[in-house]
Amino acid sequence: MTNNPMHLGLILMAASDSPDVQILMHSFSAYGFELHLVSDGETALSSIPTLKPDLIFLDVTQPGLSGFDTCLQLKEQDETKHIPVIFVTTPTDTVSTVKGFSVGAVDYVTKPFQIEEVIARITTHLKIRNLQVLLEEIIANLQTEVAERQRAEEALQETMRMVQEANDRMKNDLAAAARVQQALLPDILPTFPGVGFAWTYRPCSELGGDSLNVFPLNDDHVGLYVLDVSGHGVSASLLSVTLSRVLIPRRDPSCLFIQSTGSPDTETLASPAEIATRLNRMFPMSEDGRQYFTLIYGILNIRTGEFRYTCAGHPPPLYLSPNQELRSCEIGNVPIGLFEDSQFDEGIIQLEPGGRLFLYSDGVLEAKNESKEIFGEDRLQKILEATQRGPLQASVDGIVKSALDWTGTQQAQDDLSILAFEWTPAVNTETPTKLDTQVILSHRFSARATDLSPARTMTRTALNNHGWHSDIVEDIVLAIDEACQNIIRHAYGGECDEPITLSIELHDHNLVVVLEDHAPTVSPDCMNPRAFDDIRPGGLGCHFMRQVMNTVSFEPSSTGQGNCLRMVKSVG
Amino acid sequence: MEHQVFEQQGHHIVSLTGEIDLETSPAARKILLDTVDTSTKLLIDMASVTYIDSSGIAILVEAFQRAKKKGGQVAFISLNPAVVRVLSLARLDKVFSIHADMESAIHAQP
Repeated sequence: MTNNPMHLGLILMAASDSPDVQILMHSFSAYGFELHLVSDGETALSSIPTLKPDLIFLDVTQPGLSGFDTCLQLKEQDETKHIPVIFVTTPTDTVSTVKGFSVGAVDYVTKPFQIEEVIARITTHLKIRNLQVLLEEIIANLQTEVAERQRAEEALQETMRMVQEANDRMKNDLAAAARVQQALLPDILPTFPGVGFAWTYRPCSELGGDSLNVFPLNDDHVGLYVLDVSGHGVSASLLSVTLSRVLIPRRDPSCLFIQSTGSPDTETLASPAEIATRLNRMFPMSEDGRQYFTLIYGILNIRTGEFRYTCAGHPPPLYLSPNQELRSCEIGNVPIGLFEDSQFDEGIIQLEPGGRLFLYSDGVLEAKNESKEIFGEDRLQKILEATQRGPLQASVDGIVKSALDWTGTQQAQDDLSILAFEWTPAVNTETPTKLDTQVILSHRFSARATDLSPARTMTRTALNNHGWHSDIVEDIVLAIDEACQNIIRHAYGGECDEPITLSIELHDHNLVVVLEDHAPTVSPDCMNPRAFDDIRPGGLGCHFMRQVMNTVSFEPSSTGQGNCLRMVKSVG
Repeated sequence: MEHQVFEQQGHHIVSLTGEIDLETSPAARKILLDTVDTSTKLLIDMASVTYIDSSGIAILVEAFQRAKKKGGQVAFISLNPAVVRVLSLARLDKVFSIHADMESAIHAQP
């Protein structure tokens, strides 16, 4: 149909010319329609591509190709099948009317024509056709829109899949990096006569910037450090891992800790200040100003209890004397890497027997509660004093727990690192001292069956190193193992990652074993021995513990939570 | 912990190696009970067991009791001192049939 308002549509009619048809042509023209008359069906079909009629009249009696066959051909072709076809019949020709509809006509008119009726029917069918066209356009537009949306959605899904893949890769990489970092932390602290170590490390995210370690430098000296790389995440972790690798003593002249003189016989230990100076040269701050680190590094003389250290921008060590006096041992130096020509001062702390020294990262003191109030030194001091009589590891764990409780979350806001040691020198028969306590082993492990065998091995090694008879050693190993099983099965109610803290100390001629957990309090009643043929878990184990140890008792936990089991074995 | 099960002169012999503790005793329990269920003459060779705890002792008692119930026999061979110590703490050294070697154990189980 054309868009000319004076030309409402072009109508093609295949019919023999007659007075009726002539009248119709005049009337159509008056109503704004143009009628194009052809004599037969073939002519009608061939003229359609040129005329592009909006509606077709076919006379059932037209010569040549019948009206019905013409209509069938029109409806078979995509270009013409949508054009409305109206048959022209006679009033009595019902058969043709029905057949007309069956071959695709939309209507019929009868001769002689009732002009108004014909015009009304044409108008109606053109309106219907127009609406159909409009509807088809709308459908086509909708289909286009749907297809575009589908393409956009597929593209979005592909992007999301790629993001997810990248995220998974990144998570795996971060987890792998965290494992690398964890592997560089001391798995089992080395044992040294007269000094017991304890540590903890809680990264604030999967990757932290803190690191710590303890290592022997020679027969009399132990090196230890805690460092804190500025910032968190991958870049901080990478530097932290690099530093962990650099800060491992090696038997070669390039070792950071050896002041080489060219001859192995005359090698001396590099002083803490020298170590800081070397690190300052090796790790200048990057140009973006974000990569520097704080460090506390010290050398402990395990015979004399002298701790010589440097503290580069790091929180000062806290010394807790045996009579509970807490001292912050501050020396002011800038962090490593900030200035090319930094000088680093040293301090010396002379430990008393039984004295404890705590090195820690700023995440401990600066843990904030909801009101942004920091944990602070006073609270730290209270924890240290309250836990002084318990195992050192329990004291360290107590600090972490209190700091996390203070923040109201179990996820550290900043990396939390604590490395502590207690100096309890062995009794020297040539120069008698008042000291009567010696740390044999301090070890923390998870409440898992797989952790028990390594714990037994460590206990055996530590006890054998002191020369006790293997029967005594095996009895103590058994008692500790049974106690740990009870902690796992009864206190924790099954295997878990919660800690078990083991401490073995020699008090005069008594070996004192203390096992602590973080589990809900267990009634001491469960420690009652049962008949030997009672093989319920726990019963036989308690029986063993009481058989091989001189005393087995529950004590108040040094951290105020969990359970504390104390077992004593006379080795006099 | 590792194990071997084999037959010799009509006896089923379970040879255990390593530590029997909280971690390994569930596996050891299955091995022993499966063998008890298919054998009336069971010898448990513990020459290479270096450590046993209460959970390990509990499975030995369970295997021993189950065998007794079905009229079978269980004996222990070649215990090292650490295992003997734990058995004696459980006062089982007087209850279990313990032999120095396989030959004497086989003779004792007609």
